[in-house]
Amino acid sequence: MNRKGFRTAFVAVFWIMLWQAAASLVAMPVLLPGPLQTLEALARLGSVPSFWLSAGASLLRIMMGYVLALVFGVMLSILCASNETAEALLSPLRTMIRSTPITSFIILVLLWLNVDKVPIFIAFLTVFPVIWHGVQQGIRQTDAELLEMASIYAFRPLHVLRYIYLPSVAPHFYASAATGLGFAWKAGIAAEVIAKPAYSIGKNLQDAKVYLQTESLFAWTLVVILFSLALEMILKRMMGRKEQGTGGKLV
Amino acid sequence: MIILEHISTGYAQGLDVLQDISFKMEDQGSYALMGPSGAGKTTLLRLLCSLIKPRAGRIDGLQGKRVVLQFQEDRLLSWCSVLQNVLLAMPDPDIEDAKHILHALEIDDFSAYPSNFSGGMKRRVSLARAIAFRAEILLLDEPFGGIDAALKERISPYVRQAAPLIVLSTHDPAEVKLLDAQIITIQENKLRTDLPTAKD
Repeated sequence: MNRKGFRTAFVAVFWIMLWQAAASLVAMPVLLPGPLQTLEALARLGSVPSFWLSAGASLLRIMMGYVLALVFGVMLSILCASNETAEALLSPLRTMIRSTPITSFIILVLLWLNVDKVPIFIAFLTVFPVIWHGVQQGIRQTDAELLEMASIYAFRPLHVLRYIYLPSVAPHFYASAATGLGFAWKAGIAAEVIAKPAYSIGKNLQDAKVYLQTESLFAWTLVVILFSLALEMILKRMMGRKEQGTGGKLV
Repeated sequence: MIILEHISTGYAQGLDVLQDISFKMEDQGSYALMGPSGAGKTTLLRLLCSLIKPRAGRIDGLQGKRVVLQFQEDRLLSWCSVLQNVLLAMPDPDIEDAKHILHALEIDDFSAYPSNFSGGMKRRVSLARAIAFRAEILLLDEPFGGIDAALKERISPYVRQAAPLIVLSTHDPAEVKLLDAQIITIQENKLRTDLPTAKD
């Protein structure tokens, strides 16, 4: 094991031991189950097909909202960066969405949409202002000297986009996409807890709370954390690959 | 013939960077703008490639001509190889032609990235890009910065024939000699050289 791997393992062991110590001190699993009890609950839940159905359905809903937010956020950022009137008209919307409590939106959207669609919409609503703001900053911070050079050297519009705007915007897009992924999970699961779609992690979290099955509540929370971490790793790998391939063939 | 008549220009409200400048240049040859820093050499080059407009006066003879400027800063795309940087400036991108230009300027590592290059090497890549544009008027803003004297001497014959008309700004009389250029001196924002004007 290399130094970095050893350090990661050490940190993980430290926190698990601290968790176990706290659970032993409290000595009431209904208030604070330990890591072993949580893993047992996770294994028990995993043996039932509805667990996988619920986890898969939540993953699908949140990813749908997230991908829609990526597309919509990028579109709005291009519109607002290139048109001051659009920016003036739309920026209050971004401020309003970012400062409104997410539960207000969840309750409101419950009146408009089917319970299955509420988490999709809420994940979308939480992420798209983050992407919009991040990408717009990237477009605005594109090096004016390079753009002037491109105009003098008569770069084709597609080349300006690919070789000047994209490399400048990419770090901003990746950073906001990574931040947005965490937001999507938090908001999406919160929406599921309130909307309670038939198969969802949120409904199972709510049921665990109602029936005081704290170890199940911890197990479902662990599932959310694992999904979020796995997706973040996939995203980071994709970013690394994209950053390496910014150049490309010209002729 | 490029004719500048009573040209005054500046960047913001206030004093003009160039004041009432008049001269004419042939369509072929080399001209060197000389003068102290801040005299207006770069401004004159930016004027000639229409990046800024004159506040007063007129310029004739540039219409329809391919004009390009090698900026004072290299302005290379650090995420593209040196070959890509040159290809992007070509009207009809041709890898062999781009390699030939780079080779002539003694850059042979075509796949390297500019960030790995020294100042003088970056300058030569930006010079190669300007040449690759195949301009009729090649404007060079301190093109040989960071390049040693021996190398300047080796590459200058290639640069000299890279465009019909070359206008460079420089502080170094040796560079003027290498490019066989006619000197245009600018001091205190005014022309100090007896170049022919439109009346001559």
